[in-house]
Amino acid sequence: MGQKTNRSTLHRMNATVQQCCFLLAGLLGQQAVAETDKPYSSPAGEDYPQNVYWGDTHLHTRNSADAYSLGNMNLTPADAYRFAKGQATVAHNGMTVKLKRPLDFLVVSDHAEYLGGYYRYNVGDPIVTETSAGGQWSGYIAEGDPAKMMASFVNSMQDPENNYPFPESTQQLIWKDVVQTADTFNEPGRFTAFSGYEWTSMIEGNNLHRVVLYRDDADKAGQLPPFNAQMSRDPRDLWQALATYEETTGGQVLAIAHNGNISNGMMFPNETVDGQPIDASYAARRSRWEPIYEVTQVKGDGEAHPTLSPDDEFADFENWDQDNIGRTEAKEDWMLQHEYARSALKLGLANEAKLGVNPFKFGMIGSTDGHNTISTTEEDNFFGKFPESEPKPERMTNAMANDALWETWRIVASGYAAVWAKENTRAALFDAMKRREVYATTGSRIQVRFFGGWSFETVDIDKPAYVALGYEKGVPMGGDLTQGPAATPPRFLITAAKDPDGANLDRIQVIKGWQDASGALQEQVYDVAWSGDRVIDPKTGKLALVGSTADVETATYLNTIGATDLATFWQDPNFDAAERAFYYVRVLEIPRPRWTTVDAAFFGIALPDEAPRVIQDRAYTSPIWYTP
Amino acid sequence: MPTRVLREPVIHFVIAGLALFALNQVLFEGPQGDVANTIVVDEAAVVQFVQHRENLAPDQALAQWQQLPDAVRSQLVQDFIQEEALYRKAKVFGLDESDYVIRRRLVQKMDFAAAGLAEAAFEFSEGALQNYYTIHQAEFEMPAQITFTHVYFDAQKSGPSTALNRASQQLRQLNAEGVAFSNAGQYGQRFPYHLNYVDRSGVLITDHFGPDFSEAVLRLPVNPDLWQGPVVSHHGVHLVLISAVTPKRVLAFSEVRQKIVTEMRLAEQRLRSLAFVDGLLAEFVVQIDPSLGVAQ
Repeated sequence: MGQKTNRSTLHRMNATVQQCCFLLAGLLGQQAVAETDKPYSSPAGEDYPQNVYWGDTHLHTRNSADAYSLGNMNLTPADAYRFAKGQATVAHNGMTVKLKRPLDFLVVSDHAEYLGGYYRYNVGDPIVTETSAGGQWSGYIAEGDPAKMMASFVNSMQDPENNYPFPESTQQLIWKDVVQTADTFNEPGRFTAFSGYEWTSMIEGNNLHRVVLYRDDADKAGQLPPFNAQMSRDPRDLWQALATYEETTGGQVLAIAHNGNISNGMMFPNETVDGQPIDASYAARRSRWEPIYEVTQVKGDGEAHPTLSPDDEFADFENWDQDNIGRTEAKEDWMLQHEYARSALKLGLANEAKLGVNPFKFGMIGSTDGHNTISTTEEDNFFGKFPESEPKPERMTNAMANDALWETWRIVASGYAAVWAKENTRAALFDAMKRREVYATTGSRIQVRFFGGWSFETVDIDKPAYVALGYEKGVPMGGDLTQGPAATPPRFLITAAKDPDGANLDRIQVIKGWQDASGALQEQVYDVAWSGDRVIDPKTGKLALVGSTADVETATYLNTIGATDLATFWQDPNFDAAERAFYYVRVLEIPRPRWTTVDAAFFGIALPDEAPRVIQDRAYTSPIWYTP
Repeated sequence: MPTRVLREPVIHFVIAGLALFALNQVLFEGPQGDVANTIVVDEAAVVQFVQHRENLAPDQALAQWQQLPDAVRSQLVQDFIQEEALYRKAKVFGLDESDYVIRRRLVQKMDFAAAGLAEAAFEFSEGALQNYYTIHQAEFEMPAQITFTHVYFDAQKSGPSTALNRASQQLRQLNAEGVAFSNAGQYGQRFPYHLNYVDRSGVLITDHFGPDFSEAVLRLPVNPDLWQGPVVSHHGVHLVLISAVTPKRVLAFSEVRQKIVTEMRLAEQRLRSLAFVDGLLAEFVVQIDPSLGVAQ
């Protein structure tokens, strides 16, 4: 065998020799970069967030049991950070992959249940093999039924009595390794590596997953191991554990739910998991611990659903609405209102009226939920969710998880978390998430500003310092308005600039939700700025579509339509000061070829009939709420 | 994820697992017996490999193999050889027969870890670390960063020459009145991206303004009291007040020592892995069917 070829084939084998030093990662003293509340750099000029930082708060590596058993056996959290920082990585399909522009921050959020366990079992790490779980798994393998070992990831959450969780000592050792790795890659001012994990609660096949994200360094974050779904699948117990963490360590932490679309009505519920109506305590704790929601990711976009928003011609967008994550129960219409962000924000208003607290007062971000350690969202540089959905002709016809889940072509190349902050540090980004000054995109780096207030003037939007005015006279996205001057509707300054490396912009929309005098929940989509000289049809109230320059055969498009940037002053034409409401902004790009179309052209293969040919990537801001 | 989802990946998992245990055995104990030491690589073997690996029907696997480009075929054959070699070795060690064998391996590994051999094996001398630092200077280079504000004139709305004229006039006024950094927003027009750029790298400046602007602004002198320009971007014309530039620099050895240790450890592991598998493959005679068109 040629020596050169031999070596090049061996990159995948690197990890195989790590058994001779599997404890090293934990034993080597990793140098932590200390970070305090004092800002790392003192920003020149004004004292408000001037930068938008791009990142992914939801990414899995081989430390996740499902990722490992589906072929991600070698790519580690360190690899995830390196890739996010712009380094080239060899994917599982053998291709070299690199981001066009590095990310500013990353949360490696591996599943807490058996965190790092399958990998460590496989290389014979005694902290895993010598546990009850390890013994049980060895038994399965000896019986010739290793499938049982794979199943124990899920079974351990549903039946921890018979599927032993790791002892706390094992969890603690593995978790220390995770948080120390994050510290190693955290570079205040340049790149933020957050410690985090995913609490993978699933009840009767319904997805209640939350990513947990730490503001802290390893010395705090490492004190208590993650709260996992083997301990409890009730979100209230997770919140209690987060409170305990903060009380014990003096640190700070938050949780981000995702994939309401496969929760079959359980993500934004009327009832707790044990069937009691949600109360003020539930509402207060949920809004306290879950200030933001992951509205878009690979397993579907969750902003709106056409059944819930029949008048919104853009609501039918990359929705996954067949069933739940376990595929145990088909979707029914009643579930949808408890699954999609727009509807949840409306339910939040109704609950606030009833309970005095809004349980669903969340800002919006996107993230990937990639399971191959490689965080990608670009239509023309998309490396899928699992190793099996990395670029190759088969991903057009195969289905996720060795054909057991949904078709791979349905995967959405989405999304990003955009954070307005003064600097790129754990503290600054975390605090921005807490105050919800964040927004989601479905993978593009569209820049969006959104301010609400009572005294903005039409001319303010043209001022170079409109941002300073926005903060001075109003509140940014994620903020609150109340008690305005009599007979004055809320006024907004909104700007959007295209992704410098992406598609032009079609339009800016404001989405308003409110509870009317009768108690009914309402919504309205307003087109507020758009490209070209289109006009709103007075009969339909709709703005004409922007058109398309996309060529499906060659998977190309031109920025000859649309606008590079849009801006507007807007005030609510139908404001009633007695009605609670929220407003958020949606920005649409012009159509461009979807990743599947890019694949079809690249590999010379056919597209599935159902697959959309083009995509209008978009941004969703956190809302601004009005409370009477 | 539902139970039935997890039915299939097991095959890969187990094969890989066996390979790992086999590796460990050879590294620390040496082989215990002979392996049938000829690996024949013909179309039937390779297609079967494709079939199992990609979870395909036999005819699909054959079709896929036949469509593959040469480079991918070659890669696949190498993967097959490696997997076959490791698999056979695993069988020699009886890893397919008894959980007890696996247990023994684990006990040995525990001894190995407890003896601290793993750590000792990865100690690097100061000289070696310094040497790595010297060779990899480029990796430790930090890009230049700049802090500036700007007054912007839109060339699309008013045309390039009007924008340029307005900028030139404005420049005199800004300097005559000594307009401060924090007041830049009182002049010119709204820029689509940011008004102030604080400690941002050339990459972001290029993203927002285009490469020509980025290059030009990074070359201008730093002077927090002097408005400079006009500088042309792909949006329009800008007057800039540059308050700080951190030139590109190479991080000091002390700043990157820990990173170097990590990188050298990974490199060392990689080398051992290569050496080990090379050694293992040397025990086999590989016969690739010439009709496959894949080089040895």
